[in-house]
Amino acid sequence: MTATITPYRSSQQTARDGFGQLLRAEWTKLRTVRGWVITVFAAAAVTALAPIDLANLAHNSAPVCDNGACRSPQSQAALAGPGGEAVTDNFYFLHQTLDGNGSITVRLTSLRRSAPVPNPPPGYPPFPTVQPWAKAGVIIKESTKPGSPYAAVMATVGHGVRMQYNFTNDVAGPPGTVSPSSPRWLRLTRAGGTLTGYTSADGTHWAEIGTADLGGLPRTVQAGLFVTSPDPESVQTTGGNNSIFIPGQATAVFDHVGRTGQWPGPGWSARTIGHDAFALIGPPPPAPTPGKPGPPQDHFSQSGGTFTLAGSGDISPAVPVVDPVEVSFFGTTFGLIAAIVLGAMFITTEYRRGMIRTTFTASPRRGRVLAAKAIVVGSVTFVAGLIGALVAFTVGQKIIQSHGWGPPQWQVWSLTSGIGVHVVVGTAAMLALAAIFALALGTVLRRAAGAVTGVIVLLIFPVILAIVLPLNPANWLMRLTPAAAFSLQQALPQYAQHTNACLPYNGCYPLAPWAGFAVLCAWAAIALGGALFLLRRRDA
Amino acid sequence: MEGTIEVSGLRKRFGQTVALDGMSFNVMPGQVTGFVGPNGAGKSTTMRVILGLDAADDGTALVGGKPYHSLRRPLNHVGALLDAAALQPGRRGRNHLLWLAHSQGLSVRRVDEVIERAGFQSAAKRKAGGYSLGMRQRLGIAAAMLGDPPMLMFDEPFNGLDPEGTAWMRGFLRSLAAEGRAVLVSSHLMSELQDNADHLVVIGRGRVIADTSVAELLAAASRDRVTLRTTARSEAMTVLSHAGATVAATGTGTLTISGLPGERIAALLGEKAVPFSELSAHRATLEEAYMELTRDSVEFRAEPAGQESR
Repeated sequence: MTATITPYRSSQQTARDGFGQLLRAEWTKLRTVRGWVITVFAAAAVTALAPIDLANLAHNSAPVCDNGACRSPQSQAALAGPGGEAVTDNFYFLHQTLDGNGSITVRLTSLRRSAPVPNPPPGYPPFPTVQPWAKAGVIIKESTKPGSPYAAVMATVGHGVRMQYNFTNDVAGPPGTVSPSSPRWLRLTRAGGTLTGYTSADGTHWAEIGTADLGGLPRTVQAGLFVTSPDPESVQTTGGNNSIFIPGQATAVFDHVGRTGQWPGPGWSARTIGHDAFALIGPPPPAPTPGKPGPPQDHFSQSGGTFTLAGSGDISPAVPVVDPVEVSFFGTTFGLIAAIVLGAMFITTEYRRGMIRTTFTASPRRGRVLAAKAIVVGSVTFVAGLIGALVAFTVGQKIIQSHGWGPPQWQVWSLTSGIGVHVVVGTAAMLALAAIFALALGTVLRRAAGAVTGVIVLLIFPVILAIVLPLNPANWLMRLTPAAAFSLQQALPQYAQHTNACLPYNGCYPLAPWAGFAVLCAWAAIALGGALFLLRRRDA
Repeated sequence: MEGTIEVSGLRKRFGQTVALDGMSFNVMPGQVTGFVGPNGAGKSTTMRVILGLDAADDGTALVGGKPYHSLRRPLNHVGALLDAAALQPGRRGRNHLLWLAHSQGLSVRRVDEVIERAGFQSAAKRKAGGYSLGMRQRLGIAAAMLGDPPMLMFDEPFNGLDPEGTAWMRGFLRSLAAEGRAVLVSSHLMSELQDNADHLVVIGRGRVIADTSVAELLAAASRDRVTLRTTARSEAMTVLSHAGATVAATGTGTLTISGLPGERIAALLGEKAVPFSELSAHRATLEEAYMELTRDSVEFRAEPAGQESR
């Protein structure tokens, strides 16, 4: 009987199969469940939420007082550097006028903190006993006006010899610390707009450190010796950011001062340049407690060829405590949760209903199914995140500026600037990777609850934990967990030559933006690898 | 082999439990092959192995001569309805077919064709969460028919169908076979397949007990058995059992006797003057044949008939 039967032939033409068909099938699955479409829109909407954390801004702009020294970290007086960026330009300057080309050479025999470090108030970690970026050396500056262009060659307490210019530029020279037995010779020469820094251990054999091109430098400039030291800071991170400062003052001893070129006189004059970007504004500082000294005064003394200078402050970029872009991205956390739920449900619903068998019957190559799902859910959440982040960025920047926060101390970034692109695209990429991570974990666990909880604990919980943990473990969390990706939302640049408390709480993260994103990608990749392994091994 | 499902020597264990123990059979084109066995005999597991969903520890399952996972657009080769409830409740029936069609590069027109063939037009635009069991069965059938495949597998398709649905299903299965397709239909109730299947694969404890045509199975089960209609039941039983026959009372006035040919029974009863009104060769039902075959294979006799556990 069977021999007479002609087997049936499918009327449906078998064309080439393609990954595109699989993508289309998964896209159809996603768009035909109303709850999922709503979740995508919700992800965009909550990411767009931009309730600028003005309370936080206000908190961080309140003056901080200790030992009679008050600092107002946010309400800085506007001081812009040559590039328009916010800068700190505060140092003790022993200077003369240099007319045209010339050079200045010194030997630095000592650089140390002027007074011992006091104990911090209860609950705060000890103050650092050294300020690695306390520095002294020779400087040539357009004028004594704060923020004016300069180049300087210096020895530092903790970072060896450096050549720095125009606040943001920093070139490393030989390492090591200065002492009477191990002095540093420093030289800065000027030829037109080009300044060249040299250093030597013995005053005979010189090595070039670097050159600075300060175009537009006038014929007459101020040149001489300087010393400055940032304020030691103690940061207590429990329950937010509580920083206290004590005045920092360094004392430097110079000799063998040599000059070439035209120095029209009348001679050395000493003065404190500028004011700290952390200006003394806001409520007046409380009167110094009797018996407690006020902030130390800058001073200068000369004995024969030896010059002793004591000064405080910093010559560096000024980085606000609170990141003015990151605060606009309050909604990202909730957008991420929506993306995580969608990513997990996109596979776990199929397991729950047994539909995964239908899927694998239609597409037996399971790795391709997982890839198609990852691409579809990643693309959809990326677009949702992109729209949300665009709104958050533009609205957030508007709100900030309408509250009077503006340049130079609050930098404004346009959407098309590098910062704007990495924050907005980065936020979208974060949502996409969070969804893919949840999809992978959902494939491994085959349960939505476990997958959603798992990804939230790994990606979002560390951010909350970092607020209450001490700074060091908080920063390790922000390096190792997928939460490292939040560094994508950090707009403020971090400068090596500027010491500031970089707290996750304030949107400052230990990893560079895309490095942090790479950590999230690595987690997602490991989860996808595990998912693929189990998909192929387990019965459906 | 083209259009044929070939299962050969499948073995699979789930922990200590042996699910498949050397399962071998073929599903030929142009026939409805009934796949019968008690719950837990391995019907669903076999189907999942054929579809590449479960991996067998040993043995092969080929569809059209190839392993399932090597098929590039598998729905054009095999259509399957394993679990009609495997649907996303929030998705409309038609959209369920649409993503399946997209995954095979099939057109939207084909989706509407199968909706019509499965008689599913009325429910296609509604969300699957509100479907009755019958609607889900029809959606599952439409999905199986999407690629117009030469081989089809249905796992317990009669479950939960009303009489009208059962009648429709029978006609549908017959029409598929008439088109030359190979159709495998599983059931734990032989009665569902009695008038349906051309061929039967009876399994128990993970292996094939009988692989035969329905006619052969009935003949085998009826052989040597005689039905006796009598008013003197106990006398007849005594006489016949003393002569070495196995006698079973199957009704108030009927006995079923095996072990003795009909002529000998008639002679014995006449000798002892036991009255009887009718003596005929027994015609077994498929159900009886099945019960006989699977008597040793039923794992849990007390278990009520229901959905086969996975």
